[in-house]
Amino acid sequence: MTAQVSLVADVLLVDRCNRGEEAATRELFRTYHKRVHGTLYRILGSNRDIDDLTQDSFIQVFKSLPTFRAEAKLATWIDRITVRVAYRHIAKQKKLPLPNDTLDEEQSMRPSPGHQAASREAVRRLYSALSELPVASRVAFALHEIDGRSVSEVASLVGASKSACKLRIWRARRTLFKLASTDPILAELLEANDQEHDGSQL
Amino acid sequence: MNLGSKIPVPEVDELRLARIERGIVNEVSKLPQTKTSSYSRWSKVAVAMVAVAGVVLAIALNLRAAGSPSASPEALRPTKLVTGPGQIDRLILGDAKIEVAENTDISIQRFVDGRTLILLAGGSVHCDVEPRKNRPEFQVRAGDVDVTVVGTSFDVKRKRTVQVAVQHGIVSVATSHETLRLHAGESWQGSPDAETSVASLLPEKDDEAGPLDAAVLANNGSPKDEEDTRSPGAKNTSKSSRNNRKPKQRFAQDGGTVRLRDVLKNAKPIRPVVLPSHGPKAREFLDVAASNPKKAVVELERLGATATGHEASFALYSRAYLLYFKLGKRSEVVKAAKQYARRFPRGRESEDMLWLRVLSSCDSENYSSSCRTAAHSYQQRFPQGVFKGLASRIIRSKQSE
Repeated sequence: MTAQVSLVADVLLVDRCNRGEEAATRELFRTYHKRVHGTLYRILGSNRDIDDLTQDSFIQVFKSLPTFRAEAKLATWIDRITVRVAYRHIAKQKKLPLPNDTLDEEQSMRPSPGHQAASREAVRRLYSALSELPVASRVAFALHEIDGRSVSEVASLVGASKSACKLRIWRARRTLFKLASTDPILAELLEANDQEHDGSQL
Repeated sequence: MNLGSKIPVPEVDELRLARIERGIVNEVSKLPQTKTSSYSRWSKVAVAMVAVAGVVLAIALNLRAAGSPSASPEALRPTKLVTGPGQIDRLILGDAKIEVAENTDISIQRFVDGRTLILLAGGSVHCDVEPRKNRPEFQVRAGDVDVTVVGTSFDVKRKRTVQVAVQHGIVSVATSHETLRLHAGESWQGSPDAETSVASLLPEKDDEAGPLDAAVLANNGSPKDEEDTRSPGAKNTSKSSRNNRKPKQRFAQDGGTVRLRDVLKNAKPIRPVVLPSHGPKAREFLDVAASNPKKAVVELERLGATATGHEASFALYSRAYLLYFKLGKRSEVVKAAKQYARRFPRGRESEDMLWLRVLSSCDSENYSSSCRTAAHSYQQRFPQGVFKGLASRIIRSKQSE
């Protein structure tokens, strides 16, 4: 599907939603729920409120649809709203409770129970460390380093300049590595990823 | 660092998904329903902004000369189009094909009487337009330079200077200082003295007439005196700057007396405009319309049946438009209008479609009951519509004409 056709499809779907078609509401949700859920999960970690936040994000999306001007892809526009919802959630809670239910279906496929537990603990500590960061740094870091988005994309999603985003990500990394110096499990996770990243660049 | 691979996102099971979906649908159903599409909403916002900006500018600039062709009272639906680097867009405005080059900013303004005005804020447009003769005026404005089509293919570029190059036919170029005609192969270059002004789209005090009056004015023009002095800043690079005469002033302040049937005959609905949101098929099919309207009608009918949403509603309207104006099949237009109303009771083109139905039902010599019914429907449905005055006169015509 070309970009233009995709944009036309977005506009048509948005108009159907604006006219109050329930089928269109369901279609939009089914098309984008993975994206919204994924973004929230990467920013917040495993969280008991994630379903509610997904729902909140979509309700915000539907409330704002009449203002959608098709200047960007609908997916990008939805991402912005999702990031705002996550941002508000973090700001409201100040410090999120430590993720305690990070054992997911995918993680249960890990090779050994020992490795699985270590990995789960590492992720838990990562999000615990992230919760120490300022909201802006945390969101920028999560979108870039965990969700794998480019700095420009992060800048567009959080409504900041590229340099500001780079600075936020750098600060987050610096804090994480500082915490990792006293936490071998977190250090292992960060170092392992750095090694993988370096290896893939060779 | 890429932690994404270490933190996989779990799938949401169907049960949770259904619960979230139910919650969303419930909440959304409580939201006030938007009755207009985002397109038409923004059109309204754009009109409102143009109106506000226009009033401010009008006061500041004391308006342009009264009776200027672009100072018509009935400006409708401005559509803004901006192309980015490497993006070339093609539009069809009724019988005109427009190619918008990259990095171009235009606003398309249409009028009740069928005239089209393109405001070129920057960049370049190429226009391929049918000879105007009896057709509504087609004009491109770049700053204070007005390029009016007589029937031609031409380019207008606006950067620091405005350049007009004519490939075929004749265009009239008017600045605040001079008016001249360019023929095929000729070009003109000059500095825009003023920014393209939205004020010129607004009704002037004397022109605050209803749609009927607007149509009457449009059909009863009288020549008007105009300054005709050479612009010192403008450089004429044409082969010969022949015909340095004033353009015909088609719009007069004095309406005079006119029969309703003449007004009706000339009050055409808005011509279809192909926008990117209409989808590639509509654009492609309308390309055919200029050379082979019958084929276009068949293809638009097929598109109307298979497509959904705006694409389908646009196809139905364009088909009806071609049936009426190109093929003269009035009875089919009435059927098409009814079909459109059934399928898209709140479609974007509802007003224009209903007016097409009025035109098709009303004979130019007398007004049957079906004609009156259609006009009555129009008046009921669009009490503030652009043709409200004409509809009202049709309904009352039994007594007056």
